[in-house]
Amino acid sequence: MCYNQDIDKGLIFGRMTPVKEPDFFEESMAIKKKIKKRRSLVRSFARTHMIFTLCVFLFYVAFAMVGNIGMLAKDLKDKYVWAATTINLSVYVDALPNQPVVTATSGCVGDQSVVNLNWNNPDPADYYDILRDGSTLASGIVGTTYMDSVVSVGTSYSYVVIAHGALGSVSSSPVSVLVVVCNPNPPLPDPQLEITAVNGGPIDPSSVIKTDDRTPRISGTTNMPGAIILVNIFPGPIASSTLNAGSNGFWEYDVYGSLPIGTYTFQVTAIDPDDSTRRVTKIVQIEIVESDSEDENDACGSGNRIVLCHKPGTGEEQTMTVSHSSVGGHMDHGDHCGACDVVVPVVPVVPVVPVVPPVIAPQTPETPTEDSDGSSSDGKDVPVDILSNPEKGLPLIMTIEVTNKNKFIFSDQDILTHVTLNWKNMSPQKADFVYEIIDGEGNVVSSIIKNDVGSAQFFDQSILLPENIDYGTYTIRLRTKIDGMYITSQDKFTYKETPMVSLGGSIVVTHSELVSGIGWFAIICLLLMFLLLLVLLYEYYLYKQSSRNITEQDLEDDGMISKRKGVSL
Amino acid sequence: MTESKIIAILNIFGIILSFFSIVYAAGVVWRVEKKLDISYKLLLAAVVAYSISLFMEIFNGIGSATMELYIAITKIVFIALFLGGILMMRDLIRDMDGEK
Repeated sequence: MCYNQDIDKGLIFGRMTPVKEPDFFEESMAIKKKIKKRRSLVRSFARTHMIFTLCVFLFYVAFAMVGNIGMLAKDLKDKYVWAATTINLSVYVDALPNQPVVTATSGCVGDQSVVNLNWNNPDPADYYDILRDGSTLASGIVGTTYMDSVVSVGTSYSYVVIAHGALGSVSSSPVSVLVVVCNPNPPLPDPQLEITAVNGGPIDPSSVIKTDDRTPRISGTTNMPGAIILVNIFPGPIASSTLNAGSNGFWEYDVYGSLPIGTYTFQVTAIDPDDSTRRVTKIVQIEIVESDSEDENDACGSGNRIVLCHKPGTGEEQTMTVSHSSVGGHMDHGDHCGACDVVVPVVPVVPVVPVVPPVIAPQTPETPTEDSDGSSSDGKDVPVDILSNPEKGLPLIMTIEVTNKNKFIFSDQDILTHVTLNWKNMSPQKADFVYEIIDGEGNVVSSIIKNDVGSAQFFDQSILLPENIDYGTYTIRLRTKIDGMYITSQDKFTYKETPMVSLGGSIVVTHSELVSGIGWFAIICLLLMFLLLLVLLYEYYLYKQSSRNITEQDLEDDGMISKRKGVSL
Repeated sequence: MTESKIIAILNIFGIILSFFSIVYAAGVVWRVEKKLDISYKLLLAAVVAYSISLFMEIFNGIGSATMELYIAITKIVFIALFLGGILMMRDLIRDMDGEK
């Protein structure tokens, strides 16, 4: 209080005594003021320099933290190495494809914004995959150009091209491009769908693709982000499945179970999730041929992932996915092919196969059939009316959607699913529904049966993930059997470790990352805390100094009071 | 990804700046009294509330709805305290100007 009152009084005295008499005392005060002013200039320069240096240091550390925790150390090490010497290191790996050098440019096709990708081709690889922002955009590309038409204006994308060769794969450096505006109000483009790969390899959709894998994986792209992909397998259809394309239009379908030897037509339809009238259908024919190494292990198919029922009829009955080589052993102790809830057909539908895989088999004869319009189809082709209306021959369109935020499942979280049942040509009926969690290699890691549901239009289900599974991308598949037809639907989700810290955007720091970088984290936190403590102490010191050492001399120096006669300062 | 990094850097700088705001606001509170003191105390409390909301956002990695509710509450507390501080400062200046 005294301090403030003194200032108030000083202000009053200062205003009331404007006349000053020059004497030797004022001259010395003027010199002192000059010195004080110079000192304050030096101090302010030093303070500015310190703040600037501190900001640069903090920015450097923060940037290193966000980019990569080891970046700081690497940068310092690089600087040291650069200062010491220069080392040229060349590594040649024989038969690996050259690293693609990618150029990405944003352009326009009409009113539509697109990104054109080109990469060099001195030594062509077998085929290329393209990643956009870390997710697969397209696979099985044979050429050296690609046009990404599923882009958002004003968004920056990062592309990586992976060249696949005989002895391995090589990734390009990421290339970023900002999508330019072509038309502020572009019309919706015509729906497009491409079937680009079977089992990861490039295909020619106009010809019959031969494979000895009885569970082929089909992938492709569409220009409708998040499109509903409806896949029907003919003749029949014997199976129908729905899945969702990614935000970049990429989709991937795994056939449920094993297909017997024969030729099948896969009818793929992409449907705009916001406008069901925007749809496009493409077909591809796949011939399942006998494997060169057909033996007793091929009883359930020749793929790498075989589904069989382990110890059926006992208390330990369970559906398992085993490797191809161990099928024979399982069959010897009474296991049968296919999931446990599926009855093994007594009569094989295709006689050339020793044991018909029970999971998925034609329920209709492969003889020519009469379509509703009287046209004939030979059983391997899709009927004309089904082509125009892919949902016509199906009893049920079923979709499953993972409703967790961003389809991320964190540790100790349940998978939240929303299932929609759209009954076609029949009244709703109850059935058994099987949920399966499938890992990236196609192995079923968990299977849950929900009995006697299906009369509702939709239902939600919470599914607990099994413990001790690896983090990564999984597929949840829901399947049922209606009128002899296998109806499946699948959606993908990412199982991740629970993030401890979210720095914004999509940058998160998980518990294990935090523990692995605990040294850096602790050092930066301690530095920041020490800095703040210093600033706080300095501030407190200034405050204490100001309240302790204010004298009439200081007040006079600052022009708040004038010299009082008879008082020595 | 570039945008995410920029957001992360901005968030880190936001926390650092909020710390400095707390320190310097506390320094002013030590120095002044009465209305100006109350005004800066309110501003200091507002900055503290803002810092808490920043921290809760950072540690809400899984996007918990409950945590988002607390974040919204602390942001309301921040703006209410900030408004209180500004109104107190306004009253002080009006008094000095002799307004009635």
